Amino acid sequence: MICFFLFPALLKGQVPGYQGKHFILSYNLDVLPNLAYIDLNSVSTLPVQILFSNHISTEYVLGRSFSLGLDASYSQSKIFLVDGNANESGDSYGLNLTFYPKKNNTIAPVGNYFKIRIFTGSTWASGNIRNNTFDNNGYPVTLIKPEQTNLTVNGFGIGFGNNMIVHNNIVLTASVNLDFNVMNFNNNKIPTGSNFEELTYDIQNHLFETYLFYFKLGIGGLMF
Amino acid sequence: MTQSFTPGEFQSYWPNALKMNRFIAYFLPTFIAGLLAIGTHSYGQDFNHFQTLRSSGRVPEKFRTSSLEKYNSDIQQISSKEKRRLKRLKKEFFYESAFDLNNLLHSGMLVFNDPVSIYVNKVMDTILKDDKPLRSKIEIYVLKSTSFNAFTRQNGVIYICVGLLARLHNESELALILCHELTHFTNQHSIQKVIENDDINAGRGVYRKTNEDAKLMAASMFSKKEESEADLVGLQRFLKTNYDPNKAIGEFDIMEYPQLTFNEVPYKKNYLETSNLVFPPSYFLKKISDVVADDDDSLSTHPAAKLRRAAVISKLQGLDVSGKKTFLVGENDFNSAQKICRYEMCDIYLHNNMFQNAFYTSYLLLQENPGSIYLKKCVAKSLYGLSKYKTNGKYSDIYNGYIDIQGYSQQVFYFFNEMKAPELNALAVEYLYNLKRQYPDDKEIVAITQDIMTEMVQYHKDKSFFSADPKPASLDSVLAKDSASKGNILNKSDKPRTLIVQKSKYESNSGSKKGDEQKEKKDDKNYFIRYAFVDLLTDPDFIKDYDKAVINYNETLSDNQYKETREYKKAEAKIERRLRRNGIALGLNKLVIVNPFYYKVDESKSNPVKLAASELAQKDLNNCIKTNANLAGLNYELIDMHDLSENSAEVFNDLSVLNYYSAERSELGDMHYVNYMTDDIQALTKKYQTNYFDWTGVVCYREHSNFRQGYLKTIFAIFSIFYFPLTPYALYNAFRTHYNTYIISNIYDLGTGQSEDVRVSRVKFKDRPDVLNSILYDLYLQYKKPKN
Repeated sequence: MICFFLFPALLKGQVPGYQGKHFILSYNLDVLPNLAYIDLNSVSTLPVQILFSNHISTEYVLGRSFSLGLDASYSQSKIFLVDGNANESGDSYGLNLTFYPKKNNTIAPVGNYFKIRIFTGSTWASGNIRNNTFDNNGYPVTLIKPEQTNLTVNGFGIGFGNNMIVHNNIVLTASVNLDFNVMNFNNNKIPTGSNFEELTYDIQNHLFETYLFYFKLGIGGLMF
Repeated sequence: MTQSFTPGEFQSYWPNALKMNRFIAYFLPTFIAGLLAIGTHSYGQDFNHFQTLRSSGRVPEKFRTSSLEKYNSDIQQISSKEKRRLKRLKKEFFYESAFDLNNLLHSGMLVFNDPVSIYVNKVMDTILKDDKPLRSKIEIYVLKSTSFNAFTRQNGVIYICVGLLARLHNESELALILCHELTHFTNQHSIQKVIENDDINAGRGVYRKTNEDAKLMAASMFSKKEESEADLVGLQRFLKTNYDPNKAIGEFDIMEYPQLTFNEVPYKKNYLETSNLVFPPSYFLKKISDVVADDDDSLSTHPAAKLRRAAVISKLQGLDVSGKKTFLVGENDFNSAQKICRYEMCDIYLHNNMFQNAFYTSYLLLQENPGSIYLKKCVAKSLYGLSKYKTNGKYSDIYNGYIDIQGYSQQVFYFFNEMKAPELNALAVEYLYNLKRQYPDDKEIVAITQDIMTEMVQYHKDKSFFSADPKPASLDSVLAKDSASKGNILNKSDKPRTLIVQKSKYESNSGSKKGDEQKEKKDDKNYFIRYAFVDLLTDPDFIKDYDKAVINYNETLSDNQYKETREYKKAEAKIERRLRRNGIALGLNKLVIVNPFYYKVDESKSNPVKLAASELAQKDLNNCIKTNANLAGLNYELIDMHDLSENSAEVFNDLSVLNYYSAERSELGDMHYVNYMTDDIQALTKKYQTNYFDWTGVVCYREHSNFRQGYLKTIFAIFSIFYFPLTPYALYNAFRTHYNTYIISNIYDLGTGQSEDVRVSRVKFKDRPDVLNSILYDLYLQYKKPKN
């Protein structure tokens, strides 16, 4: 749709790209500070954790100040809880529109940019959750239950960053990003209110909550 | 391409020539004869069609080496045993001196292997014929300056100003000056001065308790001491030559009156008059002010000329000067070189907007050579320049007084000061049109005449203002009466008249006081300027050109009126937006990129311009330009003073012309002005097969931290304490420096003299290669893209 509406303008405009090259393929490492705390029945993530996610993205320069891109990410992280741990996995697929503001006088794909992204993704969580509770007599009871479930998420994100090109072919990127989940669908289970189920749901959702704020460090190549 | 050598250079080539094979040896005499013939021809200037000084032959090494190379070579002189302070001072001096020298060498103001340089080098050869090692260290170039001066650098480069040679009486005077300059070099006066000034400023040694005024005095005294030493040691060297010292001391007479030009001839009031165009006597001084020698040397760097003369004469007492000669290289050679310098002065004055001086110098030379088209054109260009500056309200940008002027040229300054803008314009039209009738094929004259006539229309749209009938006999008496009431004898108390700033030419038609004055004058049959075109109005071509000028003026006026409308501004804004989005399309067939510049500036340093880094970056910029122009498929040629080869004297000359051109254009601002060097410029467009020349460069500017930046740093630091993920950004923000990089490109259409495109792209980054590549590639793509 975006391309459809932009196309007439693109035909008129001169698109220099970077020395005539318009297409970038890059690998990004997403660095996610663990900000989403899970706090349920005394079970919570450790306060300082950094998660990582792998990201492959493409970008095609369509105008003097904007480009269109597709990206796919995959992450697998182990979340350490006070009482247990969980493996979180997730993937996402996004469509990006990147703007290189005219007032900066740089030409896409060089310099500061502002990016908007819509994405869809899913996450899996599995792990052993050890839950320390107390029975009716006040004795501690440790419950361990393996859980596995997945969750589909749709959302949008924004990012601010800078592209630098070295040796005329290598693209280095650094950006700060914010993603917002707008529609979440638990495919297998809908939380029923039990502690375990809620906890599992939270862990699944955690990854996407973590994505609320993250840094992106990328390296890529100007292909053509 | 022919090659010529300075005598010193030729001698160094001689031994190699002897080693050549027989075939070459057979042709050697012919080759030498050819060289001599070239030399003779150089002196044989056609002064009717004078060609300004141009460099030729092999480009000297000094012009080809970078400032850093010069600096690295210079610092070899510093002994490791010297004190640390001296080492530091010398290094600083060599550093600044190397960059300063290169700036001058690349300015186009210096010429090499031209007839005048060759002659001056011959005189130096004569002086140092017994000291070959010293001669090999000395290089002399001619500096296109009208001042009576010569300069010596610590590395043996001597500049002789054109104005110096133009004023001298004979070769012995030149020889004495060269001996003086040699002493500056052999005694390393420039370095000594730097060291002494550092002592003075720091209050070391004898200057410990010196106040600021005394420091100034001390610096002046030291400089004068060096000059006196150069005079006396120079004289010793001079006396070893066969030059006549009694003939040489005349130079001090010239030094005593440096404000005077090479000849003093009264300016004839009727010089620009015709039988019908007569100027009011009140436009001329009845008496010019007295010429006064500048004897006060209290704060000067040089002792007073009369003291220097006395010191030299005292050393000459009792010397036997029999057999000594005034000319050793040759009187004809001296006269030829001097004549070239005098003609060259007219051109230099014009380039420096010193129109009154250019006019008077041309006037002087026309007394000897009334048929010279070059001199007539100089007069015409002076009148054109004065008229343009007066009409456009910029007369105060050029010298507009007359009180401080000494000599007969004061009359010229006074005359042009008195002339009102419409009068000066009519005078310029009258002179130029008659010149055009004499030289109808001269494109320069045609272009200037056309422009000045269009400007005339703003004053006199209706040509009936000008009388076709001869001036009435009563006019002379009216003008004389008017003059008598003014009494224009110059007193010391006279102050330069306050200039009435003229309105722009498009404002001048509106109802104003000036308009009323115009009307008043128009009705006045005794207004002298009404009779400016009595002869011309009988010429159908003039009538035709006048009508054409009226049409041109009306078109320009309606264009300008349209530009003021809301509709135009709206359309202009729309175009601007579209260009910003899509880029422009110039469709240039070829672009010549001229002297790319690079300045790295650090605001926080005492010497903000980082000279060494700038020079290195400039080389990279040239590569960057070439790469991106090639990738964009632009047909281009890059000519650069920093990239000269041994055989690129022609490129050097081209760049000199272009340097003058760009300096003139930037000074003019929005004033439409026909370039003085139309012939040279047209030759360049023909040579490079394009009208489009691009002055491009980069300025990278590192800012001082300002309040806003400091405020943001503090905010981020506070937030990072409460919210740890912000820490990396807060640290980055705390230590980052703020840069602005400006990428400038200014394309001139040399055919029209108009700026075709001016781009200043400002990015808030350091001068990253990717940013430069990206912007330059985009620019060149736009320059190449065919026009819609």
